[in-house]
Amino acid sequence: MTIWERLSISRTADIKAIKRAYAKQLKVYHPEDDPRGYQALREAFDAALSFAKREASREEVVEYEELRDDDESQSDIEPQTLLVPRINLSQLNHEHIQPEDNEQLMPPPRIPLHANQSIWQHVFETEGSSSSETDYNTVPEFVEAIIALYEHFPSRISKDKWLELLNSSVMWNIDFKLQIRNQLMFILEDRKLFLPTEIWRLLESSLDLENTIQESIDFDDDHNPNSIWSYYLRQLKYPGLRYEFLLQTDGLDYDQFLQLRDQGYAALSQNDLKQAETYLKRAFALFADDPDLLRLLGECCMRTAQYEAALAYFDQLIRLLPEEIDGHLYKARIWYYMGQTSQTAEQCQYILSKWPKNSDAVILLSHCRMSLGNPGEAEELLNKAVQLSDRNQSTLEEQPNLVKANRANRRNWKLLFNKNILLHMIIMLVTSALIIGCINYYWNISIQNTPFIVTSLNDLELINEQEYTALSVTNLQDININHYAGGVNSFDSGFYENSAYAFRHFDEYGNPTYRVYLGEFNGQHIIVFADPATDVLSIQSGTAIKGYVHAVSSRLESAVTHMLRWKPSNPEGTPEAKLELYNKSIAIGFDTDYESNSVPVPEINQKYIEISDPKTKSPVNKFNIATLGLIIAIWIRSLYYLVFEYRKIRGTL
Amino acid sequence: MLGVRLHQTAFYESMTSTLFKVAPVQLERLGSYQNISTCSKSTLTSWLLVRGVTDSISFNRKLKWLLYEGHRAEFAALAQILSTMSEAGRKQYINSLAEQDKQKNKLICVDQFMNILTPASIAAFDFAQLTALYKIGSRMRLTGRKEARSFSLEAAQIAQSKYNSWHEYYSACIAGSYFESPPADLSSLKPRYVQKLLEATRVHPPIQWDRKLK
Amino acid sequence: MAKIGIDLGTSNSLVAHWTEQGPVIIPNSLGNHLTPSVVSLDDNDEILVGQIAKERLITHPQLTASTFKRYMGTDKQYPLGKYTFTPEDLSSFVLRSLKDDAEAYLSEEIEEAVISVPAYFNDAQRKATLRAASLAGLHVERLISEPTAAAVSYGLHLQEADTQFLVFDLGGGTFDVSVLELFEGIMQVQSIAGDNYLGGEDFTGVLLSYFVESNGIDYANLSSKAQSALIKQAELCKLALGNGNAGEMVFTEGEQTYQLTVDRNQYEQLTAQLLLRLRNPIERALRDASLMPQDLDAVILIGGATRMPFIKTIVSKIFGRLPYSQINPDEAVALGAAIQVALKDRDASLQEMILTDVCPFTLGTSISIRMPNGGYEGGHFDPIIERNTPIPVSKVQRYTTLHPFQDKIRITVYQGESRKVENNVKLGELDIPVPVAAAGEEEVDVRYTYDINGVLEVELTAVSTRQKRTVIIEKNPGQSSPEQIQARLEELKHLKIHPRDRSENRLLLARGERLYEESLHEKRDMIANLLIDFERVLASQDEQEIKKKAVLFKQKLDSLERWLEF
Repeated sequence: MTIWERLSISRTADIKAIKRAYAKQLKVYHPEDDPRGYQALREAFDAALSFAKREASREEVVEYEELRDDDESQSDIEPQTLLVPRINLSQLNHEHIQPEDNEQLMPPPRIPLHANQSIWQHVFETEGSSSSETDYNTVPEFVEAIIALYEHFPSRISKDKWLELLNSSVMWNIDFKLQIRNQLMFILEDRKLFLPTEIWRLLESSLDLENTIQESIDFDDDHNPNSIWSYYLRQLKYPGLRYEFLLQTDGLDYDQFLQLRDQGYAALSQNDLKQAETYLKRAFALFADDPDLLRLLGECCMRTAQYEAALAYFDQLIRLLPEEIDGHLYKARIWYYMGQTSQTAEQCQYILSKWPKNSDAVILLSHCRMSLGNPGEAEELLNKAVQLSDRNQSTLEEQPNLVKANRANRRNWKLLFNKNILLHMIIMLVTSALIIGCINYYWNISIQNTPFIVTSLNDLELINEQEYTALSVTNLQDININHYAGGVNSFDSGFYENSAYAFRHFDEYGNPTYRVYLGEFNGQHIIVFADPATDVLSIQSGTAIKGYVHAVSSRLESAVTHMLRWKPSNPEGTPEAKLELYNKSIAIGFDTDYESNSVPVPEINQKYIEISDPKTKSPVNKFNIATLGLIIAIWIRSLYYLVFEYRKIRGTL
Repeated sequence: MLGVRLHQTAFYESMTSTLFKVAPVQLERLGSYQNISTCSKSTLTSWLLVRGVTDSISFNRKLKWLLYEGHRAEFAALAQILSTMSEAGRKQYINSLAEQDKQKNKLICVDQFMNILTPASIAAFDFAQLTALYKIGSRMRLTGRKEARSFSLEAAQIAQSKYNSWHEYYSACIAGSYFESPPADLSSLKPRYVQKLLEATRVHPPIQWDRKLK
Repeated sequence: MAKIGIDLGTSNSLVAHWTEQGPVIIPNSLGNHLTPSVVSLDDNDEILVGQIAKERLITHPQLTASTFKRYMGTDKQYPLGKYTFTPEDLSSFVLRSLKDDAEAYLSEEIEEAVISVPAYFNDAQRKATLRAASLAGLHVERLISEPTAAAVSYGLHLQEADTQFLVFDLGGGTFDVSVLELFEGIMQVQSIAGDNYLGGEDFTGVLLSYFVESNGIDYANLSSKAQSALIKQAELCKLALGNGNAGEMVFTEGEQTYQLTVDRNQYEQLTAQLLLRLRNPIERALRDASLMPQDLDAVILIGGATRMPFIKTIVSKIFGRLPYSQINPDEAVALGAAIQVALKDRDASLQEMILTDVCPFTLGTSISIRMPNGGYEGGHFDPIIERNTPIPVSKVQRYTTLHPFQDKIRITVYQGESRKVENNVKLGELDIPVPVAAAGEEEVDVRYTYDINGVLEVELTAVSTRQKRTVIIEKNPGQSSPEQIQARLEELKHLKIHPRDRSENRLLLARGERLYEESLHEKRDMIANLLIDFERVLASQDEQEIKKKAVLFKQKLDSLERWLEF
């Protein structure tokens, strides 16, 4: 579909007709309802319009040519653009094509500048500053003025003069402004201009060069950081060097100096130290009192570790500008690098006396104090530094605390839910319980197993059967009685028999459970039961016998008494006596025959003691100890982990 | 021999202490150098992941990078740009940068630190990371134990040659940590740094700085 | 169901609706047309919007936020008390407040609105505005650009013949220029340009810097209250210079009192550099529209800062004619938005006007270009939609793979005018897999669709596989799904906006507090007494008494404020 078909009109150069057609079609292809249709329609409309415009301007040119020949007086209004032969707009202003070119050569009939000036002055109220002296109305005049301003060094760095210039009438015309901009770009391409940063910014705000550069083709092919466009953009982006100090000297080739200084600066930012040094030193040879140059030289020396030279430069810098902090800071750093701590400290203190809020100096000073072995002072200083850098002290203190508090809260929760910690806690609890239980158990047992030492007969009476007792018994003698566990006929716990007899009738009696002895305790006789295997008699007199006390049964008493009373009929020591012993049986019957005249039967205490180990077995044995050891080990390990985890968590706050 | 080994370990422990204690958000709870042998492998994996190490190739690459370039290279590059400007100019330049400029935060860090460190700048941080990385790598089987030991030793010795005392070393290491991950609120950078430095100076490393490690 | 048009401005916001007699601004609860775009948190966790909040900028700067429009679409955080808000949250509070005002005025519920955004707002910023509207409970069908809205509000007056005009919008913080053409009932935007960092505030700033430097005050180290006070002084001075020949600034810090008088000439000198910056966008807009200043039939001024008299002068100088400013420059945009609402509804009382807009910046992608020496160089910007293309628009370009064995093509979307992508703004990226083949054999069609709201959609089609990938460019992915908005809504739900019926008294209190801060010694005591008095009466809850006292209180505050300005 051709554009005319879309617009539903025939081919025409009548702008009004085109517009009307478009308006009609637009109601059909409404942008909100039919974006595609609208897009197509709009493109057709734009194409038709530009066609119509081109037709119209061609006619206009013809028209004007005629007019021009007639009116000579128009000539002085013509901007004499051809004076500067190098204008070639189409190269730099690729967006505008033929119509512009034509219009350049003839002033557009609608704005003869001079004629309208009266109107403008009528519009202004107070216009003191733009006097006709420095007001330029034509482009070439203006450009010349720029060059003149630049050439004169003191004017070059005067912002006011530039401002005045840029407010000239000619700048208000958009067209001319464009020309001026292009001219300026030409000049820049030709030679590098050196201007203070603020002037660059001024130029940029009024002429908008940056965007033009970025959009133009030229810039693409430009990879050289030294090219004019990179240079221009750098001027805008980075803080520049100062120019006012150069005013102090005459006879200086400003541009040469500035060129060298700038190249040195550029080389230095790229760390090309050799080049930087060369350039900077050459600039230095031209003029030695420029503070910025001195600073650059000093920095250059710093990077190559030529500290002495750097010191010299900075000293000079300080002499020129004692109120600026740069030189002093550098010096402090140099002393620090050179390890001259006392010098550093002195320098820092000087800095702080003039610039009390400088945190760098405080920190360097604290480093010094540290190396001088004064950690206390160093700390103090660091504390001070914290306060200095922190204007809103409350916020800083608050914040970490807030953060800490939040974190702490969350962390405390986390503590509980941490897998490891839970696990170890459980282990610990369990093992602790076990250990406590064991200890308790052992303790109880040992208490139980500690014999209660009986010293008096009274105690003996009172003693509990279950309690493990200790008695010191003397004069232990074997009375030849054995105790045997219950026989066929017995319905109680056993019977007593003459050990010799029983021994003889071993197959009937079997092994005795106890042997009975008699001992003396506190004046009384007391029966002692012992395990047959125990060699009781070897128990030294006076040693405590440990065992359990029981009440003496009548049977026992009678048995003992009987044995005690009995004496063999034959005299002692004879084999016959022994034989009789062997034949004597308590159990079978009492043989009253052999009851001799009463041997004095000593009073036998109603309690007897049975030697034995504590009933409850001592738990101290290998297995138990090993288990206990293991449990303790686990407990310690859990404890260790617990503490460890906790500290880890706490430590990361 | 054991004594030397103990000394080395003590040294590494002190070297990396600020790595694990300094503020930048502790994502991982490594705790300390010694802890590396006993903490969970998942912690180590995430520590490595945050630093771009996923396998032995990236591990070796990272090691190489730390040894030869490290964060100190970037720091130095930025410092070069900034040190050509005057104090006032520097502040002005940084302020003029757009909020979204990625370099801005780094530049602010460099501006704060470059004048209070020794010429070795933040190399300490790189070497501390190197040491920690070797130990982790050895635990995670990304490198052999012998290799790890000898390279850790080398890193420690280089560090010893570059700095004169623990204090200097710590100042640099903490600065490096902040350079790698600056806090969200950059105006609090200096106070935080100083506070961490204070904490670090209160701890007395059990081993002298210039003790021979071989 | 009524629909409203909203002008959500950097400094002030307005709301308007359409009536048969034309668009009408809806007053807020205090009876004013302008509601300052300031949000503050009250002691009882209530949100205060508008004049009340503006007073609190001085008394409670840590709990108050302003000029957040600039940061829409960014991640900037505003901590107010124990809450933290994004610029969208804050805008949504303002919108909510306006919505309440409209509902009260019209006595009906309002759910839909048209909101104006600066022509230069990019995609992220527009989306942020839409999100703010959702949070405020408003459904927004159309975002209208501000210059177009202003043009529309004037458009009704200029209906007669074909007109080409330029809209000069100098607001608090931004400067926008638009060239429009009106013919046959069609309002067509030809081109737009602007400077996002130039506005009335910069003019205030110039005075502030001058004052601070001449008096040697260390501005950066002042408390925020002092800083706000100084800013206020500079604003008053600017106003004075607008009305008369000179302005004065006074500032007291501790024992010291500083003073400075500025006259017209000095002010012009100070602002000379700013004025230079005004010219660039104008020239660009004209150039893009292929027009000369003399081709324009009218120049319209909108935006509060255009009240400065020398703006009129400058504009006259540039265009050789006096500009139009009959419609209140603060209100023109809101009125235009209300008209747009009616237009969308095809309201019968309005003659049909069709509005077309343009895309404010070039959109394209990053490509590699073949170098003369045979190699390829990357980082070049290839435009797909040029700036000032009428929208809605959809354009497609075809690209090929660069390397052999390449298995996917990555399209990175950029916005800007430079030929190198590093100077442009990256909006997002999208990958599409392609079959592995030799270099240059696989192709992908990249379609950029820029809809009528300024939202960009990118669609990639791999030519050989017909596989498609689409992405809607989002700066903050994850925040615009309805669920997320609902979630945020929940979070903000408990925050109530201070009830309207009590706002007048609240304003009086806030104003009193501010005056307390700003004055010294004896005056302070007096104000303190007045405040305590009024609070006591409020606590009594006696309606009659409160009304009486409020009137008295306001009178006293007025006289005090006048007193303070001398």
